[in-house]
Amino acid sequence: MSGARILVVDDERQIRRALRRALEAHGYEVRGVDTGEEALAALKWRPDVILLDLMLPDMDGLAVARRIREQSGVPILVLSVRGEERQKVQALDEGVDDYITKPFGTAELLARIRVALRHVAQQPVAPVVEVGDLRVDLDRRLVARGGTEVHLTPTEYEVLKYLVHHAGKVVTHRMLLQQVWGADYAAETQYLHVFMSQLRHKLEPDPARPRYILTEPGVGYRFCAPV
Amino acid sequence: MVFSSAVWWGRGPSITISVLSFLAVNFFFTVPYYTFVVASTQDIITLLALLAVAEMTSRLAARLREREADARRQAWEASTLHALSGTVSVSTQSQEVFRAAASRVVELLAARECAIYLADDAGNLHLHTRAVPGGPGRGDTPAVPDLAGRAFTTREALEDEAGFTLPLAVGEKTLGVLLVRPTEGATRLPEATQRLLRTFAQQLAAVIERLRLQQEAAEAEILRKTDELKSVLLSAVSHDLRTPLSTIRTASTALLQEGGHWDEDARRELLEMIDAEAARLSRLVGNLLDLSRIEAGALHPVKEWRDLREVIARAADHLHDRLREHPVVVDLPADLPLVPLDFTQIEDVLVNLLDNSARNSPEGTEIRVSARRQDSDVIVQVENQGPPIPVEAAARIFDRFHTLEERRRGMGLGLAICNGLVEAHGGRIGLERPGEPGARFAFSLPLEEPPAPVGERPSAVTP
Repeated sequence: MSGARILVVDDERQIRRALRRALEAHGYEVRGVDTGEEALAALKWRPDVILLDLMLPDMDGLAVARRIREQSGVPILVLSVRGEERQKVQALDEGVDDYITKPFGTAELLARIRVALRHVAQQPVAPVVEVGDLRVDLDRRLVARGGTEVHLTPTEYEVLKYLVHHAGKVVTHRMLLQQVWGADYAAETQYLHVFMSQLRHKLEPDPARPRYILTEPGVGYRFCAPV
Repeated sequence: MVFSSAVWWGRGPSITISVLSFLAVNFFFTVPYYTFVVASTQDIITLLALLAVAEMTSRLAARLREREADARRQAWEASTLHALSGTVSVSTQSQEVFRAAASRVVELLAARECAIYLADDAGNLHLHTRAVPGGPGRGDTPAVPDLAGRAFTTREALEDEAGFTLPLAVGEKTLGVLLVRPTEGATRLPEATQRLLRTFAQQLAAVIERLRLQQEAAEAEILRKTDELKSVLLSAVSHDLRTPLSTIRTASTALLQEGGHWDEDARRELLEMIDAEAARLSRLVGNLLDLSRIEAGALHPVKEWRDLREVIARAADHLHDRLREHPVVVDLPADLPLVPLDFTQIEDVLVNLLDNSARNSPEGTEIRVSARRQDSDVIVQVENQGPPIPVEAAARIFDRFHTLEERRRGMGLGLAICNGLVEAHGGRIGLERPGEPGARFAFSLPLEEPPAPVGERPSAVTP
């Protein structure tokens, strides 16, 4: 995916400069802007991924994301800080693809960008996903751990399937609930936590320190992307 | 004559007059003339009639006079009470009201002393206000008289040779005691005065209670504001600290990341960024220290007479990296005097103003620093070519309570600190011509030092 275009929207010049250097060293083409208006204008440049800070001087980052979505399906990665969970969840529920919390390391950022690019490339999800000792066969609805089949209830399987389909990306509570239980249950996060706990007990070697289904506190869950 | 004497002078004199007039009539007009002989029953009747008239009239007149005195007393009571009430209802904002009330009692009742004792939380009485003729009571605070203590515990009006005391009570609560000593010689206060004082004591108690509630409300408000300040500060601080941290982390992890392709320029730029942002972090930490000192009121500028040119140059050097895209033009008149200032603190003010200007104006535009003498002040201006700051925000940008939602990036902490530092110097800071493009901050530094407040350490002055 080298050569992909990345648009950085952040009003801190230093952060833009650092990101540009860091990403260019990995072969990306980078352009930085510092306002929402400029970000919208830069869509003409056809970026492949947009890194968007939620706090912009001229307009609300959420509004910028919404307006980008009206014109383009380009993956949007929100650059946020801890304490902005509510805005993050709202942004994700409104179609932002992922977020990364400042200060972040370059490795993490590069991984998120790769996931975003893979999803946008609409690569079909491999019918068999293998991570560590976990094997999910989506064609045959088979889940195995260390070669032994694990029996999942239909709901547990649906939850896992949705997470695997979005491997590497954060999935909000609301998205999972709507997908698996239906729109009426979108606010019933307790349901979700109960099922997630059962699922982890069946899949994770140490459910207290999950390796496959990661918790994004206050936001949702993330299925560990296969390496 | 008998009639009028009865009206004017009362019963005794009118009886005397009636006897005298009888004698006069007897002497001059009855036979035998010019003698005091009572010759006939008719004379006796005349005398008795005169006496009866005198008696009746004087009784009537006396009742009239009493009623008049009553009316006058009532009027006095009413007007005195009105005057006293005036003192407690007009200025109920402060403790001053008690002093005014006590003096007024002394003045209107011609009392020897009026004292107000208030109970503390533990229920012990303390002298709050004392007035004597000619002004507030001075000298040693006399101990709380026994009588006052008893009036407080029994909640009853008491009187002895020490004076007259009334409990100050609201509902079930006794707040204190009002003590009035009558004029020298008078052993006890007249009934009417006591009655009046009772009413007054009720009003006074209501005022005390109101003041107490006001104070409680004010304290609660201060607590609320303090909480608000803390959360605003925390969010401002975390944002301001995290921004340079993000850059440092991105740059350092980028350099550490394997698989990157670095040319010498890119590597150098990232290292410089780390250095510059570390410096910025260090400035922020300095600002936080300043702020905590401002909050604690522990900011004592050590003033020396310094050349502003030097302070400005130091501030600009300090911000060297940040000002790379913003040429700083310094414009000072040649005859600008030395200014008494705390070098580090005013340097901090200038660093914050320059930093703010650099952050909020387009790259490549200049920042202008100028100063001039105006009367007994030196005015320093820092002007940039950034977008206008709205008029409604202008008053609030120096406010510590300026919340994160309203605040544009980087306009929170720094300006609040400038405000604190300039005020500690006895100057003022503000935004000139708000709403117009190109923000212009201006602060004043007084040239003549005001007399140092008691307890402040003397400034080191080197002319």
